[in-house]
Amino acid sequence: MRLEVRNAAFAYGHGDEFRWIFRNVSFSLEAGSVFCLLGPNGTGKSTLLKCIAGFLPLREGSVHLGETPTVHLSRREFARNVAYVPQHHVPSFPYAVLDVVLMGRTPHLSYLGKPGFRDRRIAWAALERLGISSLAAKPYTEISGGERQLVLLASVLSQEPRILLLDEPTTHLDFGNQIRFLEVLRRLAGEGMAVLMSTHAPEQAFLAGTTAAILKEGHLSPPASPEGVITEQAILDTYGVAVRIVADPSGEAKGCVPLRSEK
Amino acid sequence: METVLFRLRLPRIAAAMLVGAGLSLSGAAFQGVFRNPLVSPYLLGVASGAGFGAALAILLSESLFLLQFSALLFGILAVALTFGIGRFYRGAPTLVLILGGVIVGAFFSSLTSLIKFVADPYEKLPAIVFWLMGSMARVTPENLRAVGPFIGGGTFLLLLLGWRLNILSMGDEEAKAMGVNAGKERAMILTICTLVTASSVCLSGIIGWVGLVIPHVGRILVGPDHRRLLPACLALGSAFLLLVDNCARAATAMEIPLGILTALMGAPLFAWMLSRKKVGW
Repeated sequence: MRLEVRNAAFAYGHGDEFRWIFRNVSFSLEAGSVFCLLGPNGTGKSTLLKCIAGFLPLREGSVHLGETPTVHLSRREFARNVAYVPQHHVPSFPYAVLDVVLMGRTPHLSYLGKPGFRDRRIAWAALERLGISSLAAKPYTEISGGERQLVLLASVLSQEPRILLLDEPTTHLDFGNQIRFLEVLRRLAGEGMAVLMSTHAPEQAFLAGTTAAILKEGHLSPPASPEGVITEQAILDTYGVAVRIVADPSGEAKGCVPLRSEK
Repeated sequence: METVLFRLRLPRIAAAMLVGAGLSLSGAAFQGVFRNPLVSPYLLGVASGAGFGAALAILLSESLFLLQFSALLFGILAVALTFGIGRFYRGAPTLVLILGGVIVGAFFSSLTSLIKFVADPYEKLPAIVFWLMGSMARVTPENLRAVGPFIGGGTFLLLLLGWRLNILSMGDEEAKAMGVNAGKERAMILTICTLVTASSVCLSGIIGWVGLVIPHVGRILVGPDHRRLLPACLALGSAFLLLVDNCARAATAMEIPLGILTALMGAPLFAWMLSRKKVGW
């Protein structure tokens, strides 16, 4: 399934306080792709994701799921196809990890329905896929922030969406879990999932991304391959820091190495 | 003998259990919806509104029917005002509701104080004070038949919504991302709770503590999952209020107001439970 953003614009406030966050944002997210959204802090990456997820209303433009504008879909229909993981989640009650993962099944349940045997099996599979089934019985308030992020991902996997929206999903993960997390995203994409994730690490785009684009000052650069988008000049323009993009001779590994600022 | 049983004892037992269950489930639902274990079903001003309605009716007439009708009316009106205030502002919807509840609660409490101030200190004032402290003594088969179905029906509906409450308690965006229309469902659950609490208050006056603490006792016993917590609250709340009402009626020659006893008996019990087991919320 394809997600398409057409000429999207969002603004906060009215009158004197009116402020565009981004304008003329257009791109499409194809099945099997991992789209990495880069950009400086406060540039509106999260806002864009929230607009796509339907939490914030676009001022202009539209989001289409297949051929249908998402504003015509009920939350439930939308959630069956598109899952979203917020950047910050404030936990409330100490639900067991398995129960939190089961919550992802909600759009597939009837209104008063409760998850059953099949839902439980799907939730377990999601836990196992991320290697955290040992956490299943623990209160999700008492695990580490990184583990909690994995639990939230397991929850959206059990939602069985075709499109994943992830807002800086690797922030709290340790190095190993970051890489494993990206591997999971790549495998999901290989199975036909479309992933849109915001990130601050250009290496992640090299490692897992099929497409990248930079959102800066309310403008989205044309999406292209990570190699095409993330250049030394682009990083300098975006973040104001000089980097060298290095690749090992085999061409398998590629990264951004920051340079010391010259005296 | 039969009259005592059917006119007094049975209605009173039924009312105590209904009110106990209704307040406890509403409390659990409120805490879930507001993601806050410190809120009670009186958060949105239903008690202050109902208290004012009752005090006004006591001041102006002798009719029990009018008293209860006025309590119900003003209880619901207060919550409607709270929602109305919430409409004026944009931003975090639950926070605005809580602030609205504080505003409306303070307003109606002042009005109640004003009525107490002007009321006849020998007859009306004690009646108002006694009503505000809560009691099952005024339950009759007639008024139980009138509002009991609201409490029972609302409580039953809440029992069905355990899974939805789990989802809503994850947060607004999280719930929406899981396909739940968070704003609408929250309003619906709060409306059910308001009907239940307003009906409870109109039947028995303001009984504090139950709606706040029984959900915690439930969480200590069965965990935070609302699918199990709500039935637990049903059992605990109805048993607790029945027990307390028995003490209120039988412990001394004069009947002690229920609102006093719920805290007097509940507080040490809760403190003891807290010390026994780690509380989860």
